[in-house]
Amino acid sequence: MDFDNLLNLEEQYYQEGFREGQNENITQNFLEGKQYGLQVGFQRFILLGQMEGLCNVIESYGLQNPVLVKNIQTIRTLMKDVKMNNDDESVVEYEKVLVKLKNKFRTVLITLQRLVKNEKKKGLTFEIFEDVSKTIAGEIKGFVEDENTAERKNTQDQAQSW
Amino acid sequence: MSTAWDDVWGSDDDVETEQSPDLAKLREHHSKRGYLDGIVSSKEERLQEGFNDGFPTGARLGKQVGVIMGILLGLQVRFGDTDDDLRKAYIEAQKELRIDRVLSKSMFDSNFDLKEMHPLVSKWIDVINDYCEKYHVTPI
Repeated sequence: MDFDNLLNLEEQYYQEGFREGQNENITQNFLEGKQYGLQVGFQRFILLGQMEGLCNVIESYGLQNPVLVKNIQTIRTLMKDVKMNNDDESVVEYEKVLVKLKNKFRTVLITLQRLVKNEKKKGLTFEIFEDVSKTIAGEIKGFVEDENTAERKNTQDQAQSW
Repeated sequence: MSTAWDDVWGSDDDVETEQSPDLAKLREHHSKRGYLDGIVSSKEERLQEGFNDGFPTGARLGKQVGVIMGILLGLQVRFGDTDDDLRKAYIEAQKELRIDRVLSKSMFDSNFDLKEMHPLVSKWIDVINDYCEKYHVTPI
């Protein structure tokens, strides 16, 4: 047997093994990924939903403040552009729009506070709003923020590397 | 796994019947290397495929849960001190709509697909829409 033949044989054996290995745990791996995809999808979109729901409530106050009305309109328009899949462009777009949405929404809440000032009641702050979604999405347990910053970063890193 | 190995090492009879020990060793070595690489490469691909498959459903559920919580939070801030049921509903929803409950295996079929509407989410949409009617908020 000459050298070339030997190399071919090595390659052939390698490929045999490779195909065998590829067929291991196919379904199990797919479902494992799917569960993780469900989780990350949920975590990425809960905040957007919450903004939408709160906008509905804020509109029901019937306030005629033009800045408030315009900002809510902008939030709704921005939200329409966000695609709910994990394509590269969708993820980039999501990150970009999320920053804008958060800023707009922060402004909306501040305007609302100013317009419906009530000394007896604690108003709705952006922090309360954010904590609700973090609690629901399992990023923090209870309403404590700092101890979970590390964990949250982890999830994000993992999601990005996929 | 043992059957897979048997398959790899056991199918010699049809090819070279008298394989030299050296050749058998060569085969074992390279086939094993291929096998391990095959497992790793396939695992990454399948995980990614699964991830992309599950993501949109998770996103949709997260968005719906978010809308529910947003409306409840907003109404709770505004009417919670006069509406006991609303305040209780807000606390209850925070427990029932947590990610681990909404995405628990029991909510899906064996392929992690939803058979129909998500039971918890659709329950809470009904609850919310009653409050929306009561307080003149645009329903979901």
